[in-house]
This record gives sequence, C-alpha cells and structure tokens, in this order.
Amino acid sequence: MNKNNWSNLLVKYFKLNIEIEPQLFKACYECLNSKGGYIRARLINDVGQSFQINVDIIEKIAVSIEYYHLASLIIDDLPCMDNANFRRGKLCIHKTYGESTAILLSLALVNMAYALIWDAMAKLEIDKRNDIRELIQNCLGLDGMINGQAKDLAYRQNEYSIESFTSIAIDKTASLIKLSLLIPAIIKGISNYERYHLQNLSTYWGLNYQILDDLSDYISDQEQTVVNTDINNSEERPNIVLTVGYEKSIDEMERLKILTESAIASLVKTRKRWESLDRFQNELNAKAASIIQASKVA
Amino acid sequence: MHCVMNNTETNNQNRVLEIKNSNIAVSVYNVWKSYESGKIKVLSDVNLQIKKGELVALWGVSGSGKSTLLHLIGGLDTIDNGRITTADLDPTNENERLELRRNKVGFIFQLHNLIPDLTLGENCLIPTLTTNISVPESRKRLNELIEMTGLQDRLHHRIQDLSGGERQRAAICRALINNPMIILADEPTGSLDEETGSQIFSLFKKLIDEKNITVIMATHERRFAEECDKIFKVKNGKVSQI
Ligand SMILES: Nc1ncnc2c1ncn2[C@@H]1O[C@H](COP(=O)(O)OP(=O)(O)OP(=O)(O)O)[C@@H](O)[C@H]1O
Ligand SMILES: [Mg+2]
Repeated sequence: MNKNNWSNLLVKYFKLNIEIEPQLFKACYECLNSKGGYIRARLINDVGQSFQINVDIIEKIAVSIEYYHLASLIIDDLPCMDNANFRRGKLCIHKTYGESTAILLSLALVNMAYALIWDAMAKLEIDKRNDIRELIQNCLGLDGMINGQAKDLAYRQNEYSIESFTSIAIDKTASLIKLSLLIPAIIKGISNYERYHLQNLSTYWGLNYQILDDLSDYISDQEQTVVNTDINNSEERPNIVLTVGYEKSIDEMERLKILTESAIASLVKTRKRWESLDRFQNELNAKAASIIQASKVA
Repeated sequence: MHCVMNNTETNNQNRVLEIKNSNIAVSVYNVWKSYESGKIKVLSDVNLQIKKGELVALWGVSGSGKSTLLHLIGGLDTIDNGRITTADLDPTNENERLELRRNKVGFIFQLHNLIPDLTLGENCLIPTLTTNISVPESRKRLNELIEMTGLQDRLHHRIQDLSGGERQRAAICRALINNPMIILADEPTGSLDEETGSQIFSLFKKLIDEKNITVIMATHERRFAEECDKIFKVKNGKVSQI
C-alpha cells in the first residue's frame, strides 16, 4: 500500500460530515492528509499480511495507531508543550486553527482510535483481547506515552543525559512501534520468545528513530544558524546530539543497528516470515546514511 | 591504542600484563549480567579466555545467554560486574568501545539480510561505507573474497536473481569485507537447512582460517560446536569449557 492510500484510509475512517463545525472540519482534513512516513501503519500491514490476518482488521488497527500518533503530535506541538511552529513542512494545527481546535481534534483522534481498535478486536478470543487491552494501556497510559511526555517536559529544566533520553524515547517513541508489532502478532498467536524479541526490537527502533529525528533537527539548526540567526525555535527541546555529541550519537545508532539485526535474526530463527522486518531496518539504515551524508556537507 | 582513563591503578597493571600477553584475543573475568534490576539473572561469574586465531563455540540451549555474552564481548551492552578485554580494549570505556566496534570486531547474524535490488557487489561494499577504508582498497578486498567464494561471475547480479546458496556466500563476503580481527557470530547458519548449513559453515571456516581471524560463534547445534577449536558450554548462567 502506498502513502496516498494511507492518507485516504485515514480520511475514510474518520467519517467527516458536513455537520462538523467548519474550523474543526478543515483542521481534521488537513491533519489527516499531512504527509507522514506511516511507518506504524506499514509495520502493522506488513506483520498482518505475513500472518494472513483479514485485511479489514489490519486496516482498522493500522488507522487506529496512526490516529494515536497524530493526536500525540498535535499535543506535543502545543504552546504549553514543545511550542512548535512547523510540522511535516507545514504550520502546526494550533498555529492555523487555534489551540482549542487543536485540542478538540486530538481528542477526536483518540476517541476514534479506541473505537476502531474495539471494532477490530470484536471477534477475537477473550484471552487475546485482554492481552491487547492491557498492552495498549501499558503503552499509551501512565506507564507509556503519557509518562514519556511528562518526563520529556520535566527534564528540560533538569539534567539531560543518555539515560533520560533512553527512558523518554522508550515511552514516547517505542510505545507505538511496540503496539504496531505486537497487536497483529498477538492476534495470530506468538510464543513468549517471539514476544520478548519483538519488544526489544521496538525499543531499538524507537531509540533509533528518536536519534535520527534529533540528528536532522541538529543539522537543520546548524544550517539555519548560518542563514538566519533568528530562527531557533527548538532551543527548549532536549536533543541527544547536543547532549552527548555527534560522534557518540552515531555510535549509539551503530550499536542499535547491531542489536536490531540480532533481534530480527532471533525472530527469523522461529519463523522465516519475520524476514520482512529487514525491509524496515534497511529503510532506517538508508535514512541514517542520507542524514549522516547531509551532516558531513553541513 | 587509546590510553586508559577511567580505570583503577590495579586494572591498569592487569591490562599492561595482558597487552604484553598479546596472543589473547578475548578475556572475560568474573562477569555478571542481569536484566530488569537484577530480576532476570542471565550470567553469573563467567570466566573464559580466547586466543588469537581460535574458532570457539558458545554452545547452549535457547535462552541460556549466548547472545548476551556475545553482546557484552562486543561492547553492545554493559556488564554488572567483572571485567572484559576484547582485542586489548575495554568495552566499558566509551572511547575504547568506539574503537572496538569500528575497527576490531564484526558481528554476524544469520547470513541473510542482503538488499534484494542491489547487486551482490554493492551489498558486500555496504559495511565499508562507514569506515575509512579507501575505495580501491575495498574493491581489492571484495575481489579477493568474491574469488575465494567462487562468485566471480555473479558480482553484478542483483541479489534477487541469485540462488539461496549464492546469497549465503555473498553474506559471508559482506561479513568479512572490513577485515575484522574478531568475529562474533550469532548462529550464522541458523535459518538454513542441514546440508546448506554445513556447506556454508565449512566455507566460513576455511575463510577465517586463511585470514587468521578469531571467531566466537554462538550455536545450539552440537555438530557445529564440535568442529570448533574449543567449546564453551553455556548453561544456567555458567560457562564451562568442555
Ligand atoms: N534486554 C533484556 N531484558 C530482559 N531479559 C533479557 C534481555 N536480554 C536477554 N534477556 C534474557 O536473558 C536470557 C538469555 O538470553 P539470550 O538471548 O542471551 O539467550 P540465547 O542463549 O542467545 O538464546 P537463543 O538460542 O534463543 O538465541 C533469556 O532468558 C532472555 O529472556
Ligand atoms: Mg541468541
């Protein structure tokens, strides 16, 4: 499935209608069409397809997890949080439509996400359903993303280190990746061994994506400082590259890459079909390579 | 060689002794490792020494701690207690760990993960992109490896057009291209059927022998362990030579 199809699906399942207040409607539409990488949806689709899960169910889970993700981005960008101006190359939702609309939209996304998951789980055996419910609660609730965001905000005033970076990234970034890998896997049934390696894998990927994000922020900040010293709206956000340095960040990515390959190799030992996960690692490697290249130029 | 900065006086003295004793590739002293704040105990008081050029097996059932030990030796994870020296470097020291991973050790997992739409040659050269090896030098190494594995006429074929056996051989070339001094191999033949597994293992063994590389291989298969110079059995958190 290509990226356009994903945004079409995000719009389709949101059930927009003309009764919706125009400001909110426009915000919904813009948000659902913003160009993302859909890495979570693609992971779900990939794992789901290799386990031959019904397409309708895969779609609902994938769209649901992307809704959670979008909601978290909107909240993250608010003035009381990161106070960001731009996201995915456009003005942030609260900049264009106001904070109140942004908050309402994020609530709508979370509500719809729960409804879709509920729907996708409807015919599942009770044990698996309970398992998934607990997992979602762990990943998204007070032990997961919410806690990650709280720590992220708190650490700004305090000391920031590789340890705090790791614990924040595990809660904030790895959580949704973990859901993306584990929900379809649990639906089909996996061993504890696979589950343990999938959990590790999501941690490694979560950390790796976070370092890549920080690295590209770091590079674009450097470029901007050359062109225009006024633009520096990310000075509040802790950045791992600024904290531990460029060399050590690259080294940490290298470490994660080897551990990721190790985790995938363990999974492939149990089932050949886990080989499809290599594709995502290769994508990540390619992204890392191009960012590192860009940083050399900068 | 980096100087030792954060270690104690005694450690320094020990290290001087070790460095002099330069036929040792890896030494592990009284190493302990647990996860989740000590709840999951994986390795307790592990001791072993591996000489340069040796091919050794870490042999044990699933979950016994083989991968964990390899990760510790390669500086991918931190130990709770004890001391490890790999290629005369201390993986707990940040600077030495960097040197270790960049220039001394190579990790091999199952011999797969090649990129299907790149050619065999391109795939093999990927690891050289993140090192300082010059282009002519990496070409030279590639040609040598391709010849040793008998893949000369496949160099410009895309991976997706190669047979299973050819892909495995390509993966070996990729693993050796950076000329690592020590290879940490985690079930390199794990996903292969019995016969292909044996063939690939023999080829691998021949290559590392010719290049005098030290190899530590985790495996749960007795037949591969028995073809190694030494076998360390990993069981219930303990490691013993058999
Ligand atoms: N990051 C971690 N967190 C918690 N437990 C871990 C972690 N890494 C390893 N373990 C546990 O340590 C034990 C040893 O794991 P390890 O992967 O080293 O075993 P192994 O011998 O390589 O097994 P296999 O043959 O299946 O690859 C397992 O019980 C595993 O659950
Ligand atoms: Mg293992």
